[in-house]
Amino acid sequence: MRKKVYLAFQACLYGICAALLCLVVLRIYRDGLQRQSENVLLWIFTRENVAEGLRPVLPVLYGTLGSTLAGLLLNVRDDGMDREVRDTEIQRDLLSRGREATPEILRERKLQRIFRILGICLFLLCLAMVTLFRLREGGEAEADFLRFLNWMLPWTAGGFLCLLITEGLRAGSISRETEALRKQPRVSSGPEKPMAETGKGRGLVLVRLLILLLALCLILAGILNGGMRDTLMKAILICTECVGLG
Amino acid sequence: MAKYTRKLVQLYAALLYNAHLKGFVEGEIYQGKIKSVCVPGLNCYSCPGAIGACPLGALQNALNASGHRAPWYVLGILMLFGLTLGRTICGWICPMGLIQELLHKIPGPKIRKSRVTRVLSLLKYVILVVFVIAIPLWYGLQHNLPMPGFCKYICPAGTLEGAVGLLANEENSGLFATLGLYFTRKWVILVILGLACIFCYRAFCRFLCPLGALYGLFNRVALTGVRVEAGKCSGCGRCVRTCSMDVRRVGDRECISCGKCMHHCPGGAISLKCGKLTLMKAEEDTAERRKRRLWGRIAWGIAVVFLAFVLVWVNLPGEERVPETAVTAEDADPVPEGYEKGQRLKNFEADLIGGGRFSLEACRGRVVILNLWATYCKPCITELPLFDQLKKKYPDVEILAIHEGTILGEADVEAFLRDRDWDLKFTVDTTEGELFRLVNGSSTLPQTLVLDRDGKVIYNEVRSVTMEMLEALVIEAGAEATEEKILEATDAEEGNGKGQRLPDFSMELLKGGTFHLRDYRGRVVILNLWATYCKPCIAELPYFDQLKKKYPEVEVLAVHDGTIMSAGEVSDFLKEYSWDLDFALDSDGKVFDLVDGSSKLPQTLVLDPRGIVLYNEIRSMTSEMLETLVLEALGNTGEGG
Repeated sequence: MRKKVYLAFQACLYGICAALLCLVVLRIYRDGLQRQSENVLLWIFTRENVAEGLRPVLPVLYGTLGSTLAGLLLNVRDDGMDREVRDTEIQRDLLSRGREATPEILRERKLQRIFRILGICLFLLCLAMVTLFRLREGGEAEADFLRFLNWMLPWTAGGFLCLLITEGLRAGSISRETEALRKQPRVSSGPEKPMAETGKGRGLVLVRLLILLLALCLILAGILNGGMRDTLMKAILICTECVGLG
Repeated sequence: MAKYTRKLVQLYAALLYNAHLKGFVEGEIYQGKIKSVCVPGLNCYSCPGAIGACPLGALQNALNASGHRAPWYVLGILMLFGLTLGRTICGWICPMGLIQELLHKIPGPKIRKSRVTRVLSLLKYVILVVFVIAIPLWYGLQHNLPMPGFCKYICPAGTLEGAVGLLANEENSGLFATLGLYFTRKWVILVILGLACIFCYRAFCRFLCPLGALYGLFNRVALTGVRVEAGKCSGCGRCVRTCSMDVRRVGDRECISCGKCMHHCPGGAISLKCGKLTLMKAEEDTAERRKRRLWGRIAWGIAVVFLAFVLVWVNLPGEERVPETAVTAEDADPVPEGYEKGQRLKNFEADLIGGGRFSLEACRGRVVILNLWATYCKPCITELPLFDQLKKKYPDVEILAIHEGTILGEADVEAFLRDRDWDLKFTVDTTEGELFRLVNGSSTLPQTLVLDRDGKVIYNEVRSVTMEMLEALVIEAGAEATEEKILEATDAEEGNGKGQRLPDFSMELLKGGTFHLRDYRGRVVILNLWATYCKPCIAELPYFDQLKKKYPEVEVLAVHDGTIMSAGEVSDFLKEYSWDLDFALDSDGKVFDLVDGSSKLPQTLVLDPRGIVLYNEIRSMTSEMLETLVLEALGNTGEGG
């Protein structure tokens, strides 16, 4: 019980720390914008205002750090992590080994395939909607991009939602299949097929060789066409946008 | 020891990727040639310690440039990494993986894997497709501008290693000038992801990391990874049930080959292998263990020697940057030379692209702007049109854009500028970075310097500028966009054709007062020839009214044909409308003659602030046309017609 309280307390502390760290930055940004509206040459963030903003947060951060150190020293941890996962899909995979598939099981498997294909198709369809985006003539690049993002993100999110929904339906079917498998007696007693991706044989070697050859050819072609120089060019200069500086 | 092997390898990889330790002290990033090689894990190349390129950043950059160069190099490298290591990279040699695992060690309630997390793990594929592939590709092909979608909007490695890593150094205080919305947004993302990693094992790696998604596609064919011996496997499924990643099978696309399952497997069926070579195994006999331990020690020995070599190599003292601020006692000038605010910038000369030479000395008495830029720096390219506009508005201001010259030559930059119609002076700093050193330029771009008429630096910051900032700076520096200057700026001949200066005229306004064209020098003037009996004229007058409301600085004079109607009749007609325009009646036909007007109406002339005719056509106008012309006229104040 005491462990649970401590873990919950830790969660709260870290939640508060994260919220404070975000709020400090947001406040500095808001104040900075106000200052900048009066004088465009002023900076939004300065070393001083960041230090000043962080000062009230420091006691909470130190407290959280102390609490964490105490927990680490006393080896307090969530035991749940050591327990095995109870996952319907994994259970189904395990149960299906050595059991005959009844028509009911086969029907569920067919359903699962349909849901998966449907989910992927819907997702791809939503992504394809992105191609309907049309640029304004003579539009400014950054504004165009934001318009593109505004257009694209809802479609992408919609596609992902479709994927989630179909996965949910698939999960229901998996549960039904698991139940049906439980009723089936185990018939096979031979060696089990491992729960692993077991690519083997000459086919795999051939694929590996092909990929290796292709990769080496691409690298060589890239060196020759100046791609390597492009990479160097990008890497040796600080890309302020990439690192989020602005 | 075996228990900590993976952690040691992760630490080793993190140190090797970021071996440029002096970068953290000096606040500068590594710029050696080996940075053209990508490291396998996610490690920001803008981190002061990074000695290799980030594969994701390089991929986005290559896709950006795919309009003129196929991204073979990065694709080849990624395929090679995927084939040899697959997602073993995530589990063993990714610094971000190490950080996430350390965060997960923090005591707190933990969220275990479930069907929900497994579905969420698909999100990283969406991010791969949208942010890493689609956005850079689209932006590069459409606008020929770099747009690393994932780096810019999501990547926590960039914020943590690049932004925070650079900002933490006192030397980079100037970088605070660049912080704004991007940083705020990315900081919030970083904090949220950090928090998520405490409660959820490798939250970023499992749900968001597109690099993991990419390597995951190679997991089935990867040479290195965990393998299950079919003969020993009892099919108990403990391997997948105890795994913290969203795996359904050992070695599937979510498996990072961390080897945790090896210790849980009751039959000892799982081992970490590279091809046929067993790298790690939970249960083995003494002789085999001894042999493997020996090979392990040899491998560690070689690795440590290699790391030591790399550390020495990349941290060797290079050419010291000598600040150009030293002033000798003999210097008669009371203003010290240097690049800091208030100092006078040392004179220099540079060869211009397209011919000619720039001399700072020759620009004394004028406001000078120096802009450090690069073709591959998007903020730089975005702000260059502003300098172009500024130059048109303040023809007196001298602007020199200095391109970084370590990689690209004049020919490359010239090719880049060929498609751009920027009326600026460009040079490439091919003199081993001498110009950059002179103004304290660095690898962080863009940087802008503004010098006043005495050559004193009044502004020197690494920061993207806005038009308002530039105007405020040039005015502070003493530049003027006065009417006289504008008038002096052209010697165009008089006439009513495009590019000619419309002769001065005056006429009585219907509302009272006199309109003198010369009074409006410095402002855009629109003359509209119309008549009450001309339907298209009446139809287009509201557009002029709207334009006047949107651009109050634009003067619109609607001149009525005076051959038939009187001033009273036109005034009566206008009472029905509330157009806020200046109306006049050309009773003697002088203005119509002046602008080559005829009975064909409507006719519109647009004069730029110098009084140069920009447009003179008999045609019905639309609001879009008018606005385009006005914007063109507003920017058209530079030298020459």
